[in-house]
Amino acid sequence: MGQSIMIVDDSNAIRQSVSFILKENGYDTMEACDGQDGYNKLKDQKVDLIITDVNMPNKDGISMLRELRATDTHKFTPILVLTTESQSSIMQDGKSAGATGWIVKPFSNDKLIATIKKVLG
Amino acid sequence: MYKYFDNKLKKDSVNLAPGEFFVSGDDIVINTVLGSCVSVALYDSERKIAGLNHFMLAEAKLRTESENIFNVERYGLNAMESLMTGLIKLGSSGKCLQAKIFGGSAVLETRGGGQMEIGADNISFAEKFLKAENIPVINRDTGGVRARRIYLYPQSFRILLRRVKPNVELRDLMDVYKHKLDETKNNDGTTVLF
Repeated sequence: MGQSIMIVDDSNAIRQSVSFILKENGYDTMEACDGQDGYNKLKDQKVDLIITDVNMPNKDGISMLRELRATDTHKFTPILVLTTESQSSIMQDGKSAGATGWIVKPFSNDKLIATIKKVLG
Repeated sequence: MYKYFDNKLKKDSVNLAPGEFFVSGDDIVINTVLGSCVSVALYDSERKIAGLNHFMLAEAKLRTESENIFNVERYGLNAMESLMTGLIKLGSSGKCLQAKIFGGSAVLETRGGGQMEIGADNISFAEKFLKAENIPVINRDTGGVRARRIYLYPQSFRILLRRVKPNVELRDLMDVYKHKLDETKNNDGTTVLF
């Protein structure tokens, strides 16, 4: 069984794309369609890594991140933000909320996998 | 992108160049000129806001049948995601979206030529993306051999369309955009580990 990765993104196409890349590289994936869905699915569920978008309806990725960091389950889970946002102030918000890293789209498969491997050790 | 007052339409207007997008809920007009590029107009009927993008695939025909188009076409994906994100930032829940697709003509518009299939690929990508997102396409004007100028009224989702002959200005725009895509198609965005 591969390491488990939760993908949180409101775009089906993006989830489909990221999930395809991760599965090809031996990871098990789970999906959530926004920050609220992500929080509900993750609050009692341990995973090896979380990848989240920022701008989503219902709950944004940074708010979800902050709430997950307040749980015992995800105090130390690596969380990567994968987004089109590249403003340093938003990146700083992510860092303050507890993000492990920030990947600005567009991304190549190789870059994404290399970053995940680095984060997962 | 440049903003101006359109004297004919009597409206504040935003003109999009290839690779750009704009979203608004204001009483304005968003317009662009399309050759083989595609524009998707997205409308949130609940919030009465809409947006328009203008894009071309960077690497048409590279994918095989078994490949996931979204895995290959990161620039098209980015153009669509940026548009949807723009609407979310204006308050859209993403649940009441409708789409219209324009462009993708088989016009030989770059100086290098060889663009006949790109228009069809651009249309196909937009359709596949919208299907994946469960966003209904309520109108389209795609394909053919003429370029188009489209005007989007974001509050009502009304579109005015005018067919135009490809001209030097359009060719120059396409050349610059294509060159930019070729130069950057292997570039990644920034990655930071905190």
